[in-house]
Amino acid sequence: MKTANHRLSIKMTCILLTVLASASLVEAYPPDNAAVLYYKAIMILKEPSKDVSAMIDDLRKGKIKSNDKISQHLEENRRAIEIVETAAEIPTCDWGRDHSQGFDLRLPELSKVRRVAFLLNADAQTLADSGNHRTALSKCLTMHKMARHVSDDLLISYLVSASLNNLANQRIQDFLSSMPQNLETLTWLKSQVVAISVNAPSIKTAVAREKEIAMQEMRKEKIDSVLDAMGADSIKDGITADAYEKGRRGDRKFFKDSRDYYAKITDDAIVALDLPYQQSHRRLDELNDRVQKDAKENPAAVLTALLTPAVSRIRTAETKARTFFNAVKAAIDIYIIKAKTGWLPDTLPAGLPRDLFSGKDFEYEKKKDGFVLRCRGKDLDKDEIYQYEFKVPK
Amino acid sequence: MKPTENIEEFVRLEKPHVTTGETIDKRTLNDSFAAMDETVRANKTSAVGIILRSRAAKLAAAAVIILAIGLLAIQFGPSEQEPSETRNVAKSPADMLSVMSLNMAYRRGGIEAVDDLSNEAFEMLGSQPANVSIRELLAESNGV
Repeated sequence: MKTANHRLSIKMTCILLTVLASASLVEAYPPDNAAVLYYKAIMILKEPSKDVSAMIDDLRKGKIKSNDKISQHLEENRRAIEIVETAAEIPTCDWGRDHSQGFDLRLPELSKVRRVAFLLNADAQTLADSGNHRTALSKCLTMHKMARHVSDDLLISYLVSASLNNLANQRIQDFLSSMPQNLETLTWLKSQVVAISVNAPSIKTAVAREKEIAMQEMRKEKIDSVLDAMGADSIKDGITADAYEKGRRGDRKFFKDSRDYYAKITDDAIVALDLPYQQSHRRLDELNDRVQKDAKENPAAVLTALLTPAVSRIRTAETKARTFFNAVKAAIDIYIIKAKTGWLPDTLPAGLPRDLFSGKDFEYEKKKDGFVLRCRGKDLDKDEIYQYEFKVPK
Repeated sequence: MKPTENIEEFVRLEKPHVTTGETIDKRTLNDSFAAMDETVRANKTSAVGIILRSRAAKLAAAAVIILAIGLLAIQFGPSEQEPSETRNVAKSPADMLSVMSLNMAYRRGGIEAVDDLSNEAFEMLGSQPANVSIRELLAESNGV
């Protein structure tokens, strides 16, 4: 009896272990780090031929419609696309970037992620052409989620992230303008867009990280490699060759003073980023002018003049991307009203996302074939007012 | 206008571009030899004429002329480029994908410049990993 019990307990233990082992295998996929899957997708991504690559570019720019060659390329990359779609749903993404490498850190993934996004974009356009708008929109949402994963841990990754947001928004704008106003699809789209807007990458985080890196790199032992990496572009107007050489040959005190100066300017820039666009841009331009002026008289300002990016322009790029997203969100609400009532509203409904160039509601213009959301404030770099046109198919 | 002036005017205004080739070079050389032969025939007794009758001597003379032209070209030709004030370091594809290189590309031409630089780097890196299925890998490993 004792032996029989013993045998039974051994059997039970074995069964339990088997169940636990199989359960852990099931839970191993997808992993909890999206980057693992992105890297995997990049590994199996088949590069298009030059012809197909040009077609994918033309499709993205709206010059051509999808065709058999593009469809074939998409099918050849179907597995990679599926992996990316799984990755985009994972909350965490750690690319394994070693920030201690400073400006020397390599970022091959940025370009590849953009390539994958172009593929998703082509997939979305092909689906929309065949009338499958909801799946096409879900591809755009995947692009938005990828943009979040690209992250704001560096200025360049933030800018790539913003470019993916723009690409996704362009497609959503196109699809909204061509698809039937199905209330269920629009309500689903609204809820998805609200969800991905939480904790979006921030320009402030990116600039703060760039500051950390620059402070690390402004050292005697590192400056040569930094300036060499900048190449001929490192010479800026107003920086004399003499000042430039001083930057290379400075002593420890020079680098300490340079770091202090850089920290002060960047901290002021980060504060300015919190201001509304017009004031923020003005303040950032003032800071830039001050650095350029100081660099002529104060050696401690030279490295700041060389290393500081044009933050006012980056601020404009950020405002443009976020305003476009706000226009898309506002448009979804307007389409929902149309789907519910059968008519476009005569005036802009209250409480919709705003134009961030002015901080005010978009100007709403109802047209025969749709509506326009127009900014009330200018892009101060291009002296241009943006408007977003949405059509209502009959 | 006198013929000499004509030629000078032509050279000054028209800046003639002469493209030489093997055929033209040979023809020019033969014409030169024929002219020399004619001179030699006219002065049969001169020592120079006797020497120039030899084909080897003619070739040597031609070589001296070509050498002299070459030396003159080096003397009056464009000087070597001054070294640039900044150090232009040749970048490896990996260097082209560094934070600083991508930042600088963005400063130059926005996100498109970042794409172009990255594409260039990946082209330099060579072939991309292909899509290989587990079945294909097993077939390779087992030689099946």
